[in-house]
Amino acid sequence: MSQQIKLSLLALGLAALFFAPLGQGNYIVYVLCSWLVFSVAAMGLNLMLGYAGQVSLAQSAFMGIGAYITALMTLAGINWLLAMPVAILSCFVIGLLLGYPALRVQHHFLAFVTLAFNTLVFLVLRNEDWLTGGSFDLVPIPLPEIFGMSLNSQLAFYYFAVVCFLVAAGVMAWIVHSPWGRAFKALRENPIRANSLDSSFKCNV
Amino acid sequence: MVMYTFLINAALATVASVLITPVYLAKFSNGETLGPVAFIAAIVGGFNQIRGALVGGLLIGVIDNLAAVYVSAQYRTAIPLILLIVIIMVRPQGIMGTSEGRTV
Repeated sequence: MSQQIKLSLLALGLAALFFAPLGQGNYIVYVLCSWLVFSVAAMGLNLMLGYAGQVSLAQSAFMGIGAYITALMTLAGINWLLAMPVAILSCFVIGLLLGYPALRVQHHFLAFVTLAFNTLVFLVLRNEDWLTGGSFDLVPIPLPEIFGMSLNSQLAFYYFAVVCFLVAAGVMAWIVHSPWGRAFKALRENPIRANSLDSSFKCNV
Repeated sequence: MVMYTFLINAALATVASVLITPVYLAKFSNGETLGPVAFIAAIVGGFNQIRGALVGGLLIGVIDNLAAVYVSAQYRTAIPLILLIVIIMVRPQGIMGTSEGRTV
């Protein structure tokens, strides 16, 4: 595919994202928002499962941890602009703590370790109700505000989700096309060969 | 051959379900609680041996109930999972299992 067709397709997609919710009811906008939110989560899973070939079932656990950290911080009156990086960073650290021991095993064992982690996170979130509210949920979580502009309407929140989605998609495209992305693919195609390659390759892994 | 394993597995699962329905009753959501326990028991005991399943099942059942009494009733399902993680890390072939070589 030539560069021009790619660019025009990209522009077409952006235009579709911009015009999709206009003139729609609240429910349609809500569905579009959910679509964008879950596609961001699916991109992370795609990097893990599709590019690196590691079976991980802990995606929802990381979504839950990130959501709870952001919710607790914004409920405590901290701006989401600070809460979001903190949530991302702590999920990163937890992912490192999980990945370091869990990646010693492969295939279905890795799936079971991550599934066990998933259930453990669920149990902690449900049982520690002094922190997470247990089965009574955390309400009301304030909606994000940008430059003093509150995202109260569904439409404003949709465009916020679009921007977050585009940033995530851009970061993903950058990772996949970087040497890291090629290392991930090598890991998926032939882990033993990827391990046996020289140190300059391993630095990229 | 694969079909025969499915067939035998289905027959064994039916025997297990016949034995367990008087205790857990017949419920559409039973699989959510019992299925993972069977997986955990198989991995803890060891995949490639019959006695592994016996040991794993007994161990998980006893530990689960002891944890419910002595540790925390809320976290009773967590204890077998932690055991599973420890077993996978320390002894991936399971307690009774024998490690099989892999052709590279």
